[in-house]
Amino acid sequence: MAYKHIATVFMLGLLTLAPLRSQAQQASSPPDTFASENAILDTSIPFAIGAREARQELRGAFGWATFQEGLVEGVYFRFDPDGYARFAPTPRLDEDVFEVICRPRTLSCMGRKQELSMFLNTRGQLELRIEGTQPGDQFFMAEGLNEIQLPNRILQPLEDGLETLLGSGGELIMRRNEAEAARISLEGFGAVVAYLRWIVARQDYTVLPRGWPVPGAVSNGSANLTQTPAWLSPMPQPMVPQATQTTADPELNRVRDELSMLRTLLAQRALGPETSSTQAGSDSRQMPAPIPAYPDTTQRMDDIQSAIGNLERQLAQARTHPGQPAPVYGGPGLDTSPRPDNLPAEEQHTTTANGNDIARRLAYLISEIGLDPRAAVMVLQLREGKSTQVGDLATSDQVVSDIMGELRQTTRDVGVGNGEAPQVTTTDYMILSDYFCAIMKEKAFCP
Amino acid sequence: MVEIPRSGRSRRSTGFGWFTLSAAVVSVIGTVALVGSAARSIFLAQEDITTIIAGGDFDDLPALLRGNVAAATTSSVRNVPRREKPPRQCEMPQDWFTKQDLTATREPGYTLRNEYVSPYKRRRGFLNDREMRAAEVAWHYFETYTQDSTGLANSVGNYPSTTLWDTASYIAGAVAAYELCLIEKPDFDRRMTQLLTTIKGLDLFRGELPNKVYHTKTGNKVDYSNKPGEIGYSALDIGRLLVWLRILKNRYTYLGNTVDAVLLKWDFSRVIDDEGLLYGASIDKETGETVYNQEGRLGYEEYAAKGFALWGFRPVLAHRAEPFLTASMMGVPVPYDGRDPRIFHSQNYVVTESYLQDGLELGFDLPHDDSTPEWLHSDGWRAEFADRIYRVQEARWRKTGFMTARSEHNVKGPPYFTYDTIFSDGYSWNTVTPRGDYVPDHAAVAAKAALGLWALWDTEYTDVLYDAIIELYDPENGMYEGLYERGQGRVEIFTANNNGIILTSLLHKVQGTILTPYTGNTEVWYTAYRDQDLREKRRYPDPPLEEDWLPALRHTFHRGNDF
Repeated sequence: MAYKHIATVFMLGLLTLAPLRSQAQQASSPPDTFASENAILDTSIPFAIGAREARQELRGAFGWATFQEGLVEGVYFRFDPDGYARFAPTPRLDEDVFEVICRPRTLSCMGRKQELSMFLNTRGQLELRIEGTQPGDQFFMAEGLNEIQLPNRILQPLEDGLETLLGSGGELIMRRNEAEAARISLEGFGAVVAYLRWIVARQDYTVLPRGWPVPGAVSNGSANLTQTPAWLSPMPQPMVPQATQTTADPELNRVRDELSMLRTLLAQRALGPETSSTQAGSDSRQMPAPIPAYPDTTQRMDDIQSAIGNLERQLAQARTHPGQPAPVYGGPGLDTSPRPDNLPAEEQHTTTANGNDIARRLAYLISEIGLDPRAAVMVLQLREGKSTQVGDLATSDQVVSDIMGELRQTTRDVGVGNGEAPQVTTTDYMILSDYFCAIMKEKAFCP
Repeated sequence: MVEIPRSGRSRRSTGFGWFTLSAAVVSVIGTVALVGSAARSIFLAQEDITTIIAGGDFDDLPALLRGNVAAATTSSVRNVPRREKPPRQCEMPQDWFTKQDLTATREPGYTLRNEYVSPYKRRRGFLNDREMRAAEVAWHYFETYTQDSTGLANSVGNYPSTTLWDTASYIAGAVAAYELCLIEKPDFDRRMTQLLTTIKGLDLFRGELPNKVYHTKTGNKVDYSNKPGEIGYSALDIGRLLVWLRILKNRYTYLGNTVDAVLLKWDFSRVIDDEGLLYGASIDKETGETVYNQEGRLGYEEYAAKGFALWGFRPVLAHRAEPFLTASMMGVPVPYDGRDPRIFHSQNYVVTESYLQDGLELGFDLPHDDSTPEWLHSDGWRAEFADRIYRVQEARWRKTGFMTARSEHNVKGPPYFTYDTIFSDGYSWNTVTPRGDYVPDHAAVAAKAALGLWALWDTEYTDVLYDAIIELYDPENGMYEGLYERGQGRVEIFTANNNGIILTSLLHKVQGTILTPYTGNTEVWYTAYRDQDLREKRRYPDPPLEEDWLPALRHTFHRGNDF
């Protein structure tokens, strides 16, 4: 709670001192605003590949002579030398806009969209504030019809996992007494966070997320690059947002990315808590929040490998027994526990965080929940971190259970609607591969 | 019965007739050929002597003497009386307007010379009390924010910075204040003399033309943050200043030499090319070299071009509407610049201001026109396009209820400037910041646009605009910039441009077109440095002859009954 109070005080101070555009109208005068010492960014340094510096068409006697515009991570952006920026999915930057404002002559900036505002605290951690939040409010993240509940910790300095989760897109929903109090699009969240870190790091590319399309970076072909040949408009034109670059085999690149990321994360853990704490203390703005390390990374790797093998064997076994019920989630009257394999339910809760368990959960989060691999790893890290702190391994499933509970509820709601629950049985469900096998009748689909 | 004897071939036979006819034809042709040949030989035998009178049409004057020739205007070429400068409001007789012939005697539409008669009337008459009060307040802006040290007026409130565009607005304000009898001649002369002296002494951008921005207290070149430095020059700003320097010179001949002295320090070699395009200058950030880029889009470009043409330059291409396209908005084909902003990186904003300035200051006339009546616009397409700009704004008011008088205008707070357009970037009624962000909350009824429309279009709709704006002032600071369209109240900022254009609009009601004919003969501007190569280096023009006139064009086939 004390930490929350400190953050609140900092936030209030920032809001008090920050020259919000509307407040600046009352307080500052043009010479103050456009003085060269107010410039905190060099607009000639591209935020992402393809971004370009453009000259403002100034008719008057003052203003910023240049700005930068571009497209990254699927969002268009423009920013001025004083740090003011807009991020939006449309080139006109008129709808669903994240706005970034900065305190004059400092690197303290804040992003905001509707009720949501976010900033980096003194330790470089991202903090969120949602206007009008009251005790007891619940937060959810929605992606299409799927919805998961978020812990109330999102209003505290964000852990890397939650930050990644929020950066994956979708909408942030705040509910109060079951009623929706706010719904905020998270489109551009990741780009804004990267922009805030980039400002604090004085336009140093090293703080940008992995895979960020920075000039000079070795492109693996899957990065979201600005398509300069096709995207020439410096100003809003009615046009379709440019799709990101694709490669000959995007799936292969995606898998490579995921493996690379997993390796990196595990290697970071292998460095031990000393390294993590040192990093957090020296330059916490540029590094992710400290991650609880596994006691034995090598053992974990082995466990994961064996778990993957086990999964493959079980999958093959399931395919050879088509009559056996496929794992399903949601249907009323069914066991809806996350059981991607055929292990007894009690076995899942009695074991410690062994390799099979981790791999199972990882596979479940990726394949069934549909989380980004990095996000899935972060969820597991959260769980692990919590269990390590508390020492109660039984409660380490809380996060996943919460998410699953919410998912079950959502699935039930979607399936049922406002009417009676449909009578479904396990035979109504079929694994997708079995379905393909059934209709294609080719060996390639029927192992 | 008597028998007529046949004796050989009868003279009434068909053959004899043909023979006679052929002989006659041959003899006529032969005679004509002989006479023609003889005449030709006689003409060829004569000595080719043409009498050349000094300074006459066949006199190919050397550069040394070309400055002495008076500029050709419609009054001198067509031998018709030129317009006269009207008296100051306080010197006008009570029956002044009843004696003026302000009614068009032609049907609306284009004439054979591509002149244009608008179906709308201009608003003319003495200023009433409300208008005089607005004029006094608008002038008070310049009284308050003119710097004693330089005579320059601030662009925006107490911010000590200005551009040539806004300095022209200050001249406009001063001329209007004098003609509306708000100030007397000593005050007017003092202000103008000090201002012109300061402008003459301005440190130019790399020795060429005035920098885009100057500090009003020191007169030093500054950048956009008002710090010492230079950023380039604007051809549009210079064009507007040229319009008002010509107005000053034509109206007040005694200021002519001072005005000429200002311009004779400037180097025009880069600002206009042989094709007649206008170029602005900026500095390459990396190399520090001067970069020249074509400047101006439909609306502003033509207005600035006419400013240059008033001083003898030939901005032929800049004055043409092409390339332009039209966007159909509420049944009105709104013209906009056809140059793609994605390629040229310059926006094609459609706003009211440039058309207003052309109408108020130049009467939608060509620069050489000093004789056509007020209702006949020799720059026809400009007047016709301006009618469209008016009509679409009235149509929006009638169809949506939004009072509409759109222009670029300042706003209080970042980004401090908004292009509140009728059309831009492919969108109608688009309000954007200079860097292109869509900011619909900044949409406003611009005070200068509203009163400009009121002056040039005497209609029920502009009466509504008038009521909305005429008392929109702060007695201590001047007229407010405008009234927000979405109900946020007044645009609480005070600018030289807004107050200058409002004063011009009020003066137009009293005196009509602000530019008056030049009453002298030769000008120092044309005769100076004839014994040096400076004129060639700086590309000072010769007095324009008839063949140098900008062409009168039309871009539609509208006739009177089309309206």
